[in-house]
Amino acid sequence: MVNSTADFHVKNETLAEQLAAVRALVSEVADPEIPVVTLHDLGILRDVSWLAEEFVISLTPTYSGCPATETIRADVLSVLRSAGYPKARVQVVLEPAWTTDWITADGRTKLREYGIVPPERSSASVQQNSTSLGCAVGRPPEQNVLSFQAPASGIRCPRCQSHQTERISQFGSTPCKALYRCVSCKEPFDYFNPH
Amino acid sequence: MPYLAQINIAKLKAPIDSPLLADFAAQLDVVNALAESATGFIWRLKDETGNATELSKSSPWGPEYIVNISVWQDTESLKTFAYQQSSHVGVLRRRNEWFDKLDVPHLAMWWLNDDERPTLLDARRRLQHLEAQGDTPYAFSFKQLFAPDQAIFPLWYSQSILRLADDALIHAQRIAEWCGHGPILEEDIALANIGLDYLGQARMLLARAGQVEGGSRGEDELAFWRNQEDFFNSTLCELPNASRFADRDYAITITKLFLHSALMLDKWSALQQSTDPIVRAVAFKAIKETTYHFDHSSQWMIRFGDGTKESHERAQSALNVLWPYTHEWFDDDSIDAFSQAAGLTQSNSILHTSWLARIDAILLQAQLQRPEGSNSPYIGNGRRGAHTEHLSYLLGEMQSVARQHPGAQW
Repeated sequence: MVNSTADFHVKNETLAEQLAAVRALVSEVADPEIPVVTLHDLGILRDVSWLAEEFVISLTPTYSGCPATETIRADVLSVLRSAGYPKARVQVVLEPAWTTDWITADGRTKLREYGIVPPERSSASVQQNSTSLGCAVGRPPEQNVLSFQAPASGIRCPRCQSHQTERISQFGSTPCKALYRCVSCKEPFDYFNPH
Repeated sequence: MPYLAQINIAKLKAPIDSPLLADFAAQLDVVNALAESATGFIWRLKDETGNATELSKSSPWGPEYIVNISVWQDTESLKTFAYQQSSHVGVLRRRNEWFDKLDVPHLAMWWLNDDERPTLLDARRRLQHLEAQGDTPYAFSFKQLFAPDQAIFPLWYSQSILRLADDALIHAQRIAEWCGHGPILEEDIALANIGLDYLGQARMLLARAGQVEGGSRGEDELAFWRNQEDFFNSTLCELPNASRFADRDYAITITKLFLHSALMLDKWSALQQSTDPIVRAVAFKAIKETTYHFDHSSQWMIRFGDGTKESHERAQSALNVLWPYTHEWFDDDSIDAFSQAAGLTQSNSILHTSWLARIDAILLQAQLQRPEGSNSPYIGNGRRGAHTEHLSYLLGEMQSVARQHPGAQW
């Protein structure tokens, strides 16, 4: 473990060890909206490096307008500062763009246990569908362009595991979630939109 | 083949019809006629009087300035006329009798497409840019000439990105007006989320525009410190949510979102191939968000159109009102031409057929009519910085906090 009071110069660690320590610290920072998952679980930590006398933490945003991005940046710096790594900055990298495929298997399990259904389709199907948009016109919207989106029903309830569920709204409490209700146990639940 | 545009302004020592200016006024028609017959002359801005003095009176500089805007084959033809044609040289020799000396640039030149003509507003932007930045490909003087294709990140590059960014930003701001006023709770939340998507896209694109224009302005400066004429959003995005039915009409908001998201589906799809890495990355995210927006608005269009008599009437009315503003989306001008040649963006006009197909498919289900008069010649000028009065009120609200507390941090 890292000595929380030591500063970089007195730490008796090689740069490689420091980088590993910083990466471990940042990986465990919790998502401010869904605190049960970490940055590692979400798959938004892209790189940790040492550049021009500071640690550079590269993060990628989830949704374009996700307001958690600012909080995550502050949380990362604050965790590093209190662990004795004050010389750090966060940079946002946009490419390659994040998709819900970057959520780890562990992260998916944690989400479901927390009551949020993880995205079921992969972004490969998202891409396929979005490139075939042109030939999909003319059919009802539920079945055409949006086939990769939060489906109208059939999502497995995270509480009672029933498939008798229905979508209440495609837009939920945060930009990444849709709102559902379970017909069997009558409980509402969130679904993490495929992105 | 590109042409050379030029603007030059002069500050009159006295009104144009005063005795002091009599000799100048008397020569004006002759010199203008000589210009028009000069080698390499293409076009000049003129009013009903045959010169530009009436236009000048209402120009952005005020009535004491006269403004001359013209288009030439190249810098050489302009130079030959200006400095070698004897009548024009005669005017130049006596300029100190008629005009005050300006301590800012009085002449700016730039390249434009051969089928394009400069506007007063655009010309003013060039002069201001020359004053602020010195000679650049966007606006230059005879001190330093530029070839038509000479620059790494020329101004059209950032302007092209700003067109995308400003559409997203202004649309986000309009949608945000519904926050806390949605017709039902789920819709209130849906609109807040949609607005947030647009805002996120805007922020990344604004940051990129600031970067490519040289880095002196960040996303906040671009969002909060630009004036109306420096916004390049298409006109439709700035139109209010109001209609003849209500001060805040959900049919207007949904129809705007429907028309715009149908466009952006194809646009973002094409922009995933952009040569700009950031535009590409934004497009990759935005296409998914836009798919949700199009779905959501389509379902509402069907519900409105196939709903009650009033909901049908309001949706049809919203379509009729908004339709002419969509023409602007399929227009390609010189900024687009440069941008497309560089692979930054792709043709707008080519998107029209696919857009119409998307719209028609939903309108059919909604039992709404695609507005007639689709061949109306009106093309909005928002993308070139000429806006309706609605944008100024929107900016007034959006920018007021940042401008009252410059540099404030959360």
